[in-house]
Amino acid sequence: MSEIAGVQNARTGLSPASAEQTLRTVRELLARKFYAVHVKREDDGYVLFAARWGISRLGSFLTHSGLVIAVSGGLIASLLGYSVFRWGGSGDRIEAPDGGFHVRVEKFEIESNEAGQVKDYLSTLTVLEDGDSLFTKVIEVNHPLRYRGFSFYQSSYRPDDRDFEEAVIGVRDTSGNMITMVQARMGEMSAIPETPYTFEPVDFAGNFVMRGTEVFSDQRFNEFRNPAVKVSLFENDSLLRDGWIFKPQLAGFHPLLDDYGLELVDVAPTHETGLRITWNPGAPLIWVGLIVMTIGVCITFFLSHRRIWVVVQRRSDQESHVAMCGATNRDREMFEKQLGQIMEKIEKGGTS
Amino acid sequence: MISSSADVAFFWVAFWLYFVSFLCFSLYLAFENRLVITIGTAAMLIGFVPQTVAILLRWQLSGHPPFTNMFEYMTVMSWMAVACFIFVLVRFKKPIVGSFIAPVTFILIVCASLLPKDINQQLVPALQNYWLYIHVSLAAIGEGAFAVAFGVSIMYLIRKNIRIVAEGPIAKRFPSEQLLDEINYKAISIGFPLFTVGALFAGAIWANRAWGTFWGWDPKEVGSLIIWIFYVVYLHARYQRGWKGNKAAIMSIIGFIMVLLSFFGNLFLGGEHAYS
Repeated sequence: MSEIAGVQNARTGLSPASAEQTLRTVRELLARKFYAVHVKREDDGYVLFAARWGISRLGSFLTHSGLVIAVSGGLIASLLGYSVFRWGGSGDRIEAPDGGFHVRVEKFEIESNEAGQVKDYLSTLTVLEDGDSLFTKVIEVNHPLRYRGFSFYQSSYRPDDRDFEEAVIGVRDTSGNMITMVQARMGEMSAIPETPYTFEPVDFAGNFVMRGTEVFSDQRFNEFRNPAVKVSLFENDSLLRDGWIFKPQLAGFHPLLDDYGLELVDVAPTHETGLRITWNPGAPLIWVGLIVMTIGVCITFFLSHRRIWVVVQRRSDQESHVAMCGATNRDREMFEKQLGQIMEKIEKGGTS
Repeated sequence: MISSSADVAFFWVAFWLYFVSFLCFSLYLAFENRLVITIGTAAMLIGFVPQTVAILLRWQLSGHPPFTNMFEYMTVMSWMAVACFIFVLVRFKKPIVGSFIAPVTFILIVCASLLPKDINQQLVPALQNYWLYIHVSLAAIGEGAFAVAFGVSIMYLIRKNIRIVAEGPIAKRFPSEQLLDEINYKAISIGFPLFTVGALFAGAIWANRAWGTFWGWDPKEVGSLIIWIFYVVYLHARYQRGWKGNKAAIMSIIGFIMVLLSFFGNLFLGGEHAYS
């Protein structure tokens, strides 16, 4: 008793009940506050030890261990893992580097809301291994495809500069008057009304560049700065010639036919998908590290290891002397308040 | 039918009530008057209601939690600062603490009032995810707690170091140095785990899900890491070296200035957080 009375936050008081009844009261009060209680019988009464959230002592260890694990995972990821970016149009095969398999881009779609804002963009990918199609998955931002440790993320998109959805071809007479406009699709024959001519788009360049005789599309731009469609022209089903058609303000008037000029009025692009392909062997460690750290941080800051010692001394059948002290590793003020409340209830002789 | 500006109307009601509160608490420091501090406390408590309504209305109108631009984020931060004030009021029964939380809240809400308030109804695909709720809300709440620590730390420095306050009659109106130091530590010990789990961990997990990397050295990520390391140093200095009082208060003030720099850094640095 004297040892407890000398402790800084010690409290003493008289309980209007027998030692046994007082012990029951104290046990009940502490159990309600989630303390694990141990009791030792003495000659003149009882010594009680109660503790809760002893696990909070592990908080610091878990936090620091989690940090080491997560950083180790990050190091492994940066040393052994990789992340590459690839563009792909419909039908393209994209290889998982050193993965021994490919994905084929089946389709890329952009969903817009009523105001025309982009709501979502999705790629349909098929995993191909040893010539077999294994499975198909639609990916979008936040929902990647994962296979054999590789992840394919929907990362970006851009107009496909090798293909188009639909082109509008304008037809002018020799006086320069626009006489008609024809909608055309790649690989499909279109007729120029009231003439013997038909044409078929066979090639496309979003950013047409000619170097010597070589024609290609400049890859530096994500929008069409100089679009051009190559068409095969037919007269009564016999091939006349092939030629490139441009937007007139960019490349001038091109009389591909003797009596008509063709120009590209507009082109609706198809898009190719931008995929980020990652292989991150450190990811499991990073996950474990983050989970361990989260547990560690939470129990460090939100739990406190509280211990309470109580000595109940028998005075008579109607009265006992109680001495109580406690220790906590944080939130001392609330703990002191709790000790005070417990002693108050003991002195009143009840648990309510 | 609720008009799209209804939430902004409630925001302005809260704005003016916080302004009244700020004025009253400032006056109380100069002239001890129970009526003034009662009005100041009441204005802040009443202002909390329309601000809560504004946040909830905006949530309903936009169809997503209102954390997707700088106005919304700053509003939630100031809301959290007032929530912390209410907590301090209930727990410590010291309305005078409002003298230093009210200016912080008012500064935050003034900053919010200057930002565009348009509702962003179409979130970019990366933001259409439940991690938005976890990542941004916890970060804003954590930073709100840091704002409270900042206000209390200024109060501490004045109480402790300015002779006219420490030795004059004003000292009676201030909470004790020990209590101010305790509130500073408590606010940080609430804010730090929320910031750690919300801003850093949830952010890293979401980044991995959306972009394929836990860490991308985005300006905001770097800013948050620096803030986190700073508060880690604060906590270790307090635990291991017993840093309290002036040192702890100065660190708390620097920490929150870093939070503000990181927040407004969006305007100049861009990066993956540029939409916020």
